[in-house]
Amino acid sequence: MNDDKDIWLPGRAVVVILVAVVSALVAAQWKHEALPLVAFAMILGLAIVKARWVILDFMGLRRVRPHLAIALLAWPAFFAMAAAARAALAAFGTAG
Amino acid sequence: MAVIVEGGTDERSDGDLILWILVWSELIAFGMLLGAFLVMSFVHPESYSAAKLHLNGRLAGFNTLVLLGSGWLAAEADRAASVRTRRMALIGAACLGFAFAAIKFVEYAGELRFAGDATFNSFFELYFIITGFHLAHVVFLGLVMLVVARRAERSNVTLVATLWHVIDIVWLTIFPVMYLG
Repeated sequence: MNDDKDIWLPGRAVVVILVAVVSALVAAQWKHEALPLVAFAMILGLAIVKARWVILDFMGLRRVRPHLAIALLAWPAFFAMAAAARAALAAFGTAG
Repeated sequence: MAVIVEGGTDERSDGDLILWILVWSELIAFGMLLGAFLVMSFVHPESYSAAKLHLNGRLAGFNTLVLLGSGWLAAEADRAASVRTRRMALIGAACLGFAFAAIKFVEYAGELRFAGDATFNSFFELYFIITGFHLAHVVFLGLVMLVVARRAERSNVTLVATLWHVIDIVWLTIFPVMYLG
């Protein structure tokens, strides 16, 4: 856990929730159609940003255990990239 | 975990090791399940795309907000100086976790009829296993947070808040993998 008090959590929460609101609204608009890539990018980005804040700041691994931080960050990043790759394949497949 | 203790010095504790083992066992278990889902979605792209149209993306999107709010309260509980604030933040985080579970059950009510439908090539079986496994973690950790709120010591709050964030991150990964694309 990190004791740095200069991290303004409410501000970060507002940013994350704003991105999530926009992502959810965009996702809801396209419920029965293929989602645009921008919606994908926002939701996948949200997962990575949240993971990064939690792992580096909340868990305090930025300075103490950088290798562990990288391994933890790799987990959501891997699945985010796999989901993005599948979406891109589906989009190109539909277009072609 | 709690790599940096209250005094600001770095210390290892037995609790750290157990927490890391717990965190990684969760990430490996969810990783295997999500990997299986991704492989199957590559093998059966048409049926998986068709099955996703039957999921309720609006409720899942709203639930994502609920869980993010809960995660924020858990982080605030860990930062709070007074025991009372810590306790209130933990109870708030647990309540939002239970709200997540309630919304998820509403969502399940509309999706259960598709379970076992052969046209979707095991999509809903994997969907219920993965989201159900995650839901069980949310409910269990919500109960643990209520127990910890009774004796809101800093080390216990840090431990439960860390696990809560991990489960939060798992949902943020499940959401795009299962609902989108």
